[in-house]
Amino acid sequence: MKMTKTIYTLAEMEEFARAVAQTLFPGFVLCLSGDLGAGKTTFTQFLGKAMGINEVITSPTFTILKTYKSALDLHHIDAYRLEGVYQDESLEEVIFSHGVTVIEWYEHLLGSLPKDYLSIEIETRDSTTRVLHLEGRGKYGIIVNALSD
Amino acid sequence: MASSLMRLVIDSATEYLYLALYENLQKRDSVYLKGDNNHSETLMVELKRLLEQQGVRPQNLDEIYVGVGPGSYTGVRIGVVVAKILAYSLNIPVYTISSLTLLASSEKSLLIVPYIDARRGYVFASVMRCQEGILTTVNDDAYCNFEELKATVDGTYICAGEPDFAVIYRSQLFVRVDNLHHLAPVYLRKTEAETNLNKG
Repeated sequence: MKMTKTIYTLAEMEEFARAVAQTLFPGFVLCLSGDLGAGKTTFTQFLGKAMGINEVITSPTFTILKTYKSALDLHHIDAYRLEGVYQDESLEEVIFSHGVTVIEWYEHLLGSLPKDYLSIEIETRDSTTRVLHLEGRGKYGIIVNALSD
Repeated sequence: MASSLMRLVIDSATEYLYLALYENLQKRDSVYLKGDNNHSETLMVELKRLLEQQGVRPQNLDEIYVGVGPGSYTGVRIGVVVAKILAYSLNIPVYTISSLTLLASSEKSLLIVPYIDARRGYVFASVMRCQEGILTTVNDDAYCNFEELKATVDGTYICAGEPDFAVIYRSQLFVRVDNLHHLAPVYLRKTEAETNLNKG
């Protein structure tokens, strides 16, 4: 299931992140892609806020993984530095855990992803306009459906 | 007269953290705690509490037994590194035990299949026989498809249960580590790179 959605302001991005937060379940895997500055981390910040996380969320480019405690833990992975790694057993255990995992640069970790996941590619149009390309594999198909309403 | 041996048993390869203090084969106390990928946060805290409550100082320990997997990639390393550091600093011997065998020791039925989830429909599993309190290995630890295993082996499947170290000890299912620096976790799953290499 695929869907494209255009958003024009930062406020709309936050609104969209809140809508995604409504669909989360234990073990949820969300893969984000997009150029530097597209808003992957901004989206994750809004998602964290909607999940009730008050900590400042920054992209874990150096540490690769950061976990934020919440009713559903948020595991934020930035695989930018893992080019060519393909699979990592320790991160895989996080991805398959009970929390919610958001993965930036998931292309570098394809070998450690579950069969089903939600992916969002953020395409930059101008300073605030973004085209979101959503794809829900397997059981995430109905989530993309729900988000398109 | 030989004094009694104070034994510490550690296993962190499964979802549960297991710590036990034995005096010879008599259990003094144990911890069997469900975790959430967080054994690294709880192991040392629980170990300290366990020893303090029993009035045992690390210097009183004579032997360490550690579960070396197979199991959680991160989890197993936590227990192994703690066992290694304690044994090195206290200059006492370490013995390794399969984490699946530890799991099997919690069960008393005749044919036991201890298994640990390895994701994507796969498990780490072995097959053990239990007779008169003695465990023997029928099938060695392996990484296998869970459905295929269930179709071929009819036994009591267990994925959780507090180990019984006395059973392990009587069954002699442990191995003394000769060179502490060579002690490493057992991990049966091939990495994707190895799998691809073999295909090529």
